[in-house]
Formats: sequence, structure tokens, C-alpha cells
Amino acid sequence: MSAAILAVGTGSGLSNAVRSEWTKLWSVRSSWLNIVAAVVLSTLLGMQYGWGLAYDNTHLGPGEVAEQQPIGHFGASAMLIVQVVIAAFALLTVTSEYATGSIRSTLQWTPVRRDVVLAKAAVLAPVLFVYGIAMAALASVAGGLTAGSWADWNLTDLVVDLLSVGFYATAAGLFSSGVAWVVRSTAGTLTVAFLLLLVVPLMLGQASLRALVWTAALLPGGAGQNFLTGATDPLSPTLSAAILIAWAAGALVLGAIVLKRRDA
Amino acid sequence: MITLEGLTKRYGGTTAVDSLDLTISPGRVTGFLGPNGAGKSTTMRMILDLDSPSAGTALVDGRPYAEWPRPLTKVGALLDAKALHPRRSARDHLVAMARSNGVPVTRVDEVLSIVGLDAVTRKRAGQFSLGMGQRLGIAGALLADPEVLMFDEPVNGLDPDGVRWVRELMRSLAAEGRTVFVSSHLMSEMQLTADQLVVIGRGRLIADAAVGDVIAGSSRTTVAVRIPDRTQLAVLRDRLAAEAERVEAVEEGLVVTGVPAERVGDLAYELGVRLHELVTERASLEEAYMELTADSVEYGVAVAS
Repeated sequence: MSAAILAVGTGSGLSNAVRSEWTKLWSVRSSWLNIVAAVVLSTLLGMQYGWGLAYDNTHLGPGEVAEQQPIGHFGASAMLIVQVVIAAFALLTVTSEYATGSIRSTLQWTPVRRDVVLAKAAVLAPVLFVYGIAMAALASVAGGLTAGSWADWNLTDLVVDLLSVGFYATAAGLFSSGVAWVVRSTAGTLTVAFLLLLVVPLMLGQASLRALVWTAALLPGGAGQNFLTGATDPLSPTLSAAILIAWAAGALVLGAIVLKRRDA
Repeated sequence: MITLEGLTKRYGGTTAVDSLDLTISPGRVTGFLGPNGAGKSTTMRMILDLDSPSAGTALVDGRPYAEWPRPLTKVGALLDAKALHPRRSARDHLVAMARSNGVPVTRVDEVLSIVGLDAVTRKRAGQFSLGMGQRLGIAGALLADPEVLMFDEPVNGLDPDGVRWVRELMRSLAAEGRTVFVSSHLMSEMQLTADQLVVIGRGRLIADAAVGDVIAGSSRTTVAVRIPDRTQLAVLRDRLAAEAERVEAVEEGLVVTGVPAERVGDLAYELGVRLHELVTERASLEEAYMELTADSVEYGVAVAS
């Protein structure tokens, strides 16, 4: 028995851990429920934005001009809200392990703690990328259909917009999972993610003080908004993307350090 | 083989495990005993690198657990049957576990049938009874066919058939040459299962000996003799008083502590004392254990007198 099993078993620690994390992600119902929630939310938000545009363009104030909108913008706008659901998807892969105690099994199976953090991130990254693109596509199509003649269905613009949203969803999700390794509780992690991805940048971004605008642009949520809207002030989209990558990588490194030091 | 050298764990001011030196050898079942809070679980967690020691080392075959590639093939352990996601099915839990160490997934169905859970593999682990949870945990320990097995209170919640099954499983794993390290509160069970006993109290090693030696060393193991003649009884009593820990005169005889039956018989022969009965009354492991740990019970209950 023993010889057969030892001979057949293969793979490095990290690649095995990645396979295990993939199995874990799709074998709990909460992952699927989260996707259902995001699908509903993305569709509804897209419809709302589409109707909103159609309404605005048919009820113009004096001096305003009706404009078509590329449908990808509906997707990017919806992501402002949907990102919270996607962040929850990512952070739950970590916090649910602490809530259920299964983290002790995980660390027993993969005792090299850095590999655990890396494996979860390696599974999440492509999933988040596709997840973000799919939800943005849903919102874009829903918005495009409800906006009617005001929708601009240019495919090239759409592809660029969707890829940008996919990138942002990946960065925001990985950032949330990194925070989850540090905070451990679902409520705590969700609070941190909600504040840094949505609330604080939104509040500061509307300030007229230059220093506050800069602060918002340096936070992950603000950098995300600037990146998705293609804003060039105060930073170029490329720099905003770099800031997002830095937040995601920083959170994961911090998470790995904390996990390594803490008893399971 | 598990080797502990100066293994120590401190939490703030309290020392949970206090410089433990220990070797747990293959080919036999080593029982791990101690009162609640003695540091048993903490020791096992340090062996698996779940907790890091404040000082000292815990090695599995000469290396820390975390340094073994595919560590589940080295050590299979059931520490906490609740350490799983309650909404994941039993089979998916084991599939994730198998993949984490490159174990073929076909092995999952094998171990599920070994522990008798074939009928409920799709059931969510959270709906399992305590006993089924233990069986799932044991399936996990066996999954990668490890050389070393550790079980923390494996018979918790098992029915008598289950208890017996676990006992036979441990015996057969040890007979295959594996290292089996089991903690338990059930002394009667340990007496039947273990070859070697490690007893700790307040984080310190109290005893590391064969089960037979632990029982023999207990003051509760006594030799009783029945002597019909009162004068001869007094002669033997005075002679034994010189070498026994304790000699107690009872009706028509003596109860001797600390001298083996052979020696009592030889002395009686030398002194020409006629015996009607010579019998060793062995302590149970439970009695021996209570005596060993009397001073180190962390959460003791005062007995009203």
C-alpha cells in the first residue's frame, strides 16, 4: 500500500497547495451564492445606469447636449458597488477558514505558511480576473440594452473597458484577501476593505483640498476609480494601476508575515 | 520516530510545556497521558508546527514537520475533528487534503471505506455526529499512508464498537512498524491499547515507561498473604517491615506494598512461615495514573471529607 501511494504522488508543495485551494474554493456553497448575488447586482445596476442615461438624454436641461455612452462605462460604474461582493468572495476564502477552524487543517496539510498565502492568491487571481470581466460584461450589456439608442456598442472600447475592470477586480480582491490574513474575522476584514476600497476614497475624492485628492488617489479604491475612468489628474492611469498592484502585493506580503509569526 | 528536545511553550507568564525531552519510537503504541491543561495538545501542535516552540525542538525523523516535502506522507494526525469547513462534504474535504500533498484521489474512497463512511461521503461534514467526525478525522490521518500517526483523544464520542475498532487499528498500525502516538483520558482503554506510556503534568515529564512498569511501580500494587498462625504472622510482618514500603496487618494475614510476591514467598520459606495464600493484587492503570499525577492536577476538585 505504502509503496504504491508514495510512488504515484507527485508535485511540489506549492503546486499541490494550489490544487487543494482550487478544490476548496469550489466545494463550498458560499462561493456559488456569492456569484449569484454579483450576477443579480451587476445586471440590476447596469439596467439602472442604462435607464438613467436614457432618461437624462430625453430630459435635457437648457444648454445640455445628449451624448451616447460606450456600454463599457456601465460595467465600470457598476464595479464601484459590485467590487464589495467580489472582495467578499476573495476574503471569505481566508476568513471562513478562521471562522470554522479549518485553517488548522490547511496549515497541517501545507505547513510552509508562505505557500498557503501564495496558493490562495494564485487560485484567486485568475478567478477574480474572469469574475470582474464577466460582471462588467453583464452590467454593460444590461445597460446597453436599457439605454437603447444612447448606447455605443463599439467592441474595441468594450474590450478595453472589460479588461480594465478585470484587472481592478483582481487587485481589489487580492488586496482584500491579504487584509483577511491579518484581520482574520469576516466582519473586520469586510469593514477594512469597504472603507479603503469605497468609502474613504469616495469621501476624500470630493474634497476641494488638493492634499485630500492626492490621499484618495493613493488609496486602493481611489486609484481604482482613477484607473477605470481613465483620469489623468492627479496621476496617470498607469501610475494608478501601479498603486493598485502595490496595495495588493503589500497586503499579501504583510498577510504572509503575520501568518508565519502567529500560532495556528 | 518523534524526538523532542527541551521542547518548551510559554504563553505570557504561564509555561504550558516545560523543557520536554522525549523519544517516541516506531513499532509500538505510545499513550500520552496527563490531566487537563497538562500540555498534551500543545505538544502535539508543536510537533506539527502549528504552534512554534518558545524553546527547544520537535523533530519527525530528524527534521521539523514543515521541512518535509509532502508532510502528510510523514505524519498523519487527528488533533481536532472539528477543524474542517462544516459545509464541505466529507469527500471534498479529503479530496482537497489529498491534492494538497499529491496523493491520488482514488485513495480518498479507500480510506472512507476503511473508516466505514462509504455511505455518507456526500454528506456535509458539519452534519456528522461526534463519532462520524472522529472517523472522518481518522480517515484523514490514514490518507497519505504516513509513517507516524498522532491522535488526540481518538475515541471521543465513539460507540463501544468504534472504540474497539480504534484500538485494533492502532495495534495494527504499530504492528506494521509505524509510530503511533495517542493521547487519551480513558485509562482502561490505554491499558488495553498502549505499549509505552508518557505521562506529563503541568507541562513536565512525569513518567516515560512501559505500561507494565508503570502499573508495577504503583503503591496500589500489593501482595496479600494469608497466614493461619498468629505467631508466624508477627514474625513475617517484622521481617517485611525492614524492606517493604508498607506492611498492613489484616484479618488472618498481611498486605505488603513495595515487595514483589516472589520475595515475600522466599522470606516466608526462609522463616518457616506456613502460607495459605500468596497473591499479587495489581493496581489498574487508572490507579497508577492518579497516583502519578496527584500533584499536578491543574483543575483539581477538592473532595469533601
